[in-house]
Amino acid sequence: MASFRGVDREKRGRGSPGLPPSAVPFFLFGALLSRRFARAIAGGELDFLRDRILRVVLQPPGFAFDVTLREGQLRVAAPGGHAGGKREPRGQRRGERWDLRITGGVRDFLRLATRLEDADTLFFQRRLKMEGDTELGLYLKNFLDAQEEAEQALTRFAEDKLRGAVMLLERFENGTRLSRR
Amino acid sequence: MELVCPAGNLPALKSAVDHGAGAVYIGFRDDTNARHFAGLNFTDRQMEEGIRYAHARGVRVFVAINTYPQAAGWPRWQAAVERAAGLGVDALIAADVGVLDHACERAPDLHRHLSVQGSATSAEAIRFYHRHFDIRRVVLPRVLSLRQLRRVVLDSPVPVEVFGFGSLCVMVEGRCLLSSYVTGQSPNTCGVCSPASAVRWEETPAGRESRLNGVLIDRYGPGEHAAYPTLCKGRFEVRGQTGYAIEQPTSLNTLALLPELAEMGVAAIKIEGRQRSPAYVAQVTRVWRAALDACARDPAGFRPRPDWQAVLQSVSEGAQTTFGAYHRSWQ
Amino acid sequence: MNMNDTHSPASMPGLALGPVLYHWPRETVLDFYAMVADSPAEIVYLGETVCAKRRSLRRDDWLALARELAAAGKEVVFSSLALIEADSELRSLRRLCEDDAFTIEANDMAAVSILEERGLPFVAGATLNLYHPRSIAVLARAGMRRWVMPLELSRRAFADIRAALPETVASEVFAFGRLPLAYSARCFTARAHDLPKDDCQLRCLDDPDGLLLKTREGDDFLVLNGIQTQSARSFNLMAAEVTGPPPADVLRLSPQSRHMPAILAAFDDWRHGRAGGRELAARLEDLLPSGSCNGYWLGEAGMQRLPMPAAQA
Repeated sequence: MASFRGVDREKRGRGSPGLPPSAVPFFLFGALLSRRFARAIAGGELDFLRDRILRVVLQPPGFAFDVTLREGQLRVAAPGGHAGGKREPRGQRRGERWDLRITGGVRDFLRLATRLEDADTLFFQRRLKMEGDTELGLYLKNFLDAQEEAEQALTRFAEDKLRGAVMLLERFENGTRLSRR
Repeated sequence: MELVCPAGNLPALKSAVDHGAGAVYIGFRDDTNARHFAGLNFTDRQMEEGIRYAHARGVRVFVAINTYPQAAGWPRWQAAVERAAGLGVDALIAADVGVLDHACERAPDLHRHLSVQGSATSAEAIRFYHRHFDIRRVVLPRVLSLRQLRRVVLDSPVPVEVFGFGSLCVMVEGRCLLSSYVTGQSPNTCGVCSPASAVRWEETPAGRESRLNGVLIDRYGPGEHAAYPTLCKGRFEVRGQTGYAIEQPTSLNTLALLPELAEMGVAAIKIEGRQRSPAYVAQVTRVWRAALDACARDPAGFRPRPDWQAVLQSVSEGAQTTFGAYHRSWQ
Repeated sequence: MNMNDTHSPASMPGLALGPVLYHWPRETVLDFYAMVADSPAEIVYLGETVCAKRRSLRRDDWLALARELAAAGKEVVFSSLALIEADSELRSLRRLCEDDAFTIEANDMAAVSILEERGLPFVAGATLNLYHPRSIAVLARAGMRRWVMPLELSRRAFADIRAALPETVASEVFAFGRLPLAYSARCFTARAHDLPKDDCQLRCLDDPDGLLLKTREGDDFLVLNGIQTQSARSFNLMAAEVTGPPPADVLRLSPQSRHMPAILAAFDDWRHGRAGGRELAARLEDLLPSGSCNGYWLGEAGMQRLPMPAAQA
């Protein structure tokens, strides 16, 4: 037990603040995503991600993960956890390979995910940054926009709740801001 | 005035219908339409479902087949027209004379609208299309001033549809080859402008650079936002000065002109944005529905509400809005 | 196409001088056309296609010039305004079309509409967007006698169209010059001088070959010519065809302010088979304001300057 805590502290010391990579069940995210988009994967609609690496960076809080499509499954891993990907534009750290990198705040990603916000709007307002293969980004954006409601009732329920939570949080924040004046 | 809203996919179509569009316009998932973007547009099955959804709620569906085919690809445009007719769409939006001719021959009952890509800027040009193809409506390029627009509406043999909101194209639609000069693909030939496949962003000591097929479109300092490198919206050097020599990213917004447009006799307001998300379509359709209803109830007393403008501004490129060619001093 | 070159005179293309796209002062224009009268060009396009405010020559001047050139044995065509916006422009267009002494090049469907109603034959300009045989057939029925290929089309597209061209319709390709790429309601020349379009002071007179626009790393990119945007590089068909001119009926050369006699002579040599395209193109390269390009004809991005292809079938 003591050694386990010791390992955690050690890992947290390295790199960015937030959850240590080993504690995050990436494989679970991958499985959930594959289930959510099973029909699309089967229909070849996610082929643009096959063996390409999409890096998502949530900044704040400073947390990143890589997504790819391999052998008919969406896979999520810690940054650098997948084979393949192009070397990132020069001037960056060595060893970083991805085809497309999207950076944005976790709140904005949640708004995107719950259809409360439009990706272009976030882009214009500088709240979302895209680097690397622009065409891949466009495929991704258009793919996500075209998704209808989840077929599985549980997923639908979860997404509705998530949307409600985001809206509630924003109303609360706006209210707090107003009351502070 | 009819509210004509864009839809790049099924969720967007449903958004438009649910929030009060009078008609939605869509395209097939190929280069037969002028928004041929990776992953955008409708398969036949999706179009079928979209038409069903819209018609059940009294909303019309227009299909854009508005690019210019060449000899090699011609059979695909012919097939697209026939598929659209077979699916029961309410109108075909086309620009190419050959496409219109084929539609008259093979789908005579399908209404034909002249696309903005047809580049008709005068009543006389409209007359040509009316005479040959019995078009039921014309969508005007965004280059005319309000006064010029009034003239065209007055003299036009067919009802007129104008763009009321969305990203602005500074060049007259249908005759711009800038994109194919730089990338080999243009709106006319491939349904794209400044295609994503030609875009590269690079960090350099001089700043963040955006390039289109290798041509430097713009360069950004640390505080500056890197916009999509649409090539006419870059910064260039002319007469020793650097700046937006052609155009800067701006959006069109004619909300305040609604009473005047209605009085003029404009038949429909078109919202640009098939490449935008269902969220955009929902937000914009809701505002314009409310505005059109308010204007119809009391044209003399119509004032755009601040909350409407706030929503429109928030989804706009450059977060600026301008009357575009409608407002003379912009030129 | 005959791989063995030397075209017989019967299949040799005519040379046309396109309308002057820039704003030149009256004397420059008149001197230019005096040269043209003695040049090997058979066809001359006259008139203002870019901006109705340019009035170096009045209507009577143009007509007098037309008659002189016709007397010198040239086929004269009046080219119409490409972008019609104001009512006054529509009225000028009607007046232009009323005079049936000379053929009109229709650059907008408004002109086609007027000419068709009057039963007059016309030349279909490149901006009418006739990209394939079916659309060409419709315009042929409307009275089109010569079709000018849209500038972004390739050798392949030309061949496909030519194979299906009606007997009554001749073909013309843009063979030389800065490519007109776009039109706008905004005047970019005025904007470059911080002037509104309504008070432009005709600053475009300063730029006999248009106003150069460079990228931020100093490359010549585009040219601003009032409401028209052009390529900086001059398209040169000689740099794209190994064996000689393609089987078009007319090759159009778009005037630049200097060296036109040499350019005309080079194209005349080319069509007569007196010299090869590669050699002639190299000779002209230094005479071009921003060098040449040949991308469109070869099916690539227009701005490309690609090596001459190996002999094609």
